[in-house]
Amino acid sequence: MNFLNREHTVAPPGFNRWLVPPAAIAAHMCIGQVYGFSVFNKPLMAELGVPVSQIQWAYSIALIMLGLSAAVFGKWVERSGPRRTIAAACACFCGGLLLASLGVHLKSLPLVLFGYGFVGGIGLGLGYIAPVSTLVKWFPDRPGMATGMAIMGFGGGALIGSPLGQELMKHFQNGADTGAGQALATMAAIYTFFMLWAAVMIRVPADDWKPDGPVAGRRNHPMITQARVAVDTAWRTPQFWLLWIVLCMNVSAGIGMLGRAADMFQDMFLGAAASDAQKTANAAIGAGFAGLLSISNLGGRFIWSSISDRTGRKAVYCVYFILGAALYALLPWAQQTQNRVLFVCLAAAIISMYGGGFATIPAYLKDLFGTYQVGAIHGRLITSWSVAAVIGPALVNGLYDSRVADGMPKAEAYNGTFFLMCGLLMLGLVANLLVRPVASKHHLP
Amino acid sequence: MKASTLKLVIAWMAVIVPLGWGVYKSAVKSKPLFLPAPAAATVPHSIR
Repeated sequence: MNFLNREHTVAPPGFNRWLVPPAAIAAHMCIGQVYGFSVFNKPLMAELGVPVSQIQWAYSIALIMLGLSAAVFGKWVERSGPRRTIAAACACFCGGLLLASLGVHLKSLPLVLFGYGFVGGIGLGLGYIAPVSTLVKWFPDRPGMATGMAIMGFGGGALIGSPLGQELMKHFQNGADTGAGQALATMAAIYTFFMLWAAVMIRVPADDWKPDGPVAGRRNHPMITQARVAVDTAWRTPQFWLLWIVLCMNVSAGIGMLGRAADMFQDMFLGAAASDAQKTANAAIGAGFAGLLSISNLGGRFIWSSISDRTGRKAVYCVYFILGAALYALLPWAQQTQNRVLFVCLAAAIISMYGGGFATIPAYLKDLFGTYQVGAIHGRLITSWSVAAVIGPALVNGLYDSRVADGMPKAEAYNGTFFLMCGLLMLGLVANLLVRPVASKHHLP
Repeated sequence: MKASTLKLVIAWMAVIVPLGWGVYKSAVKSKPLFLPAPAAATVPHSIR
């Protein structure tokens, strides 16, 4: 297994660094399937005879394990290199899909939860951080663009995973058999191929490697360190926790809307359907809105993080928070005037910045702590994502439900949640404004 | 040099093609959003 060792992945002189992003994107595209897991909700309900709330635990456990495994295995990832890590991620994620498939075959919900959620979730954490930290090292002159490419792949994974799952289930469906088990197993095979291809393709730069061409002017910016900070030191600095809050607030604000997008649009603009045909048409429009937001999320990851290379990370997060809050504040007005086009444009812009926040954070970490253990630091930071994945939807759903229970029309019940999102974004803004360069006492000699 | 360029093109196509398929499928799914709303009566929540 020497082939997997870090030293075997060091690129030879003259290696074209543009061969690395496709490998990173491929790994992220595979694990991003987790965002498309909801297409299995109804088929698994039918197969296992349990309510959807129990099926959704597979998704929740997977996201919790993503944060935990990234935090726990971050140092191992840095030590082992990206090839071994992506191979391990492949074994866990695709093994998890196979276990879930077996769980469907045996009609065992615990096996589905253990396979997809626990084992697969570990694969998510490993597969998420290794490609990102590798790209940061290859593109020190454009780290925002580099991390944007990889994390765009994760967003793309949902766009691929959902229709792929649906097409495969349609293909394997046979009478009472929904085809979910076979679809999961087939996806395991497809993703194994792509992830192993990514593992073979990935390279790390030699220690003395530098990019060709002029060095970007921002390298001498006070917010961009040339020093190295170890992960065990980094997570004890205020900068780490300020960025933890920055990511948590940005994700909470976005995920709250993204999680309810289809229902939200129907409630706010389409009203209650008078017939089954109308219900189907409304559901298609709601799904269309959710689809559009997914594309916007994908584009925002690459575009905003690339912009951050020019503006600096702190400035671009100020834009996410100030512009994001302003756009959220306009959403109730778009609802009251029933201006669907304006609402869609505002929501798309908000979600693009949600994606941008995800994609820019590794470059922000690299600026503050250097590239030395940026993958491990990123791993610990994305525990904030796991927290946000719980508090964002809980806040939106809780406030919405209480307002509806108080007798408020459904169309207007969301407006309060939008102002709540503004508040979260303002908290994120304060945390971002407090970020200063890391004190030199934390730098490694 | 030619081999490297070919490798680069193949590597990028390997990710652009599936990604493009995913974006296309989502764009198709978004189509109903841009079609005129059906005339069938709906009852806006705000006036119920």
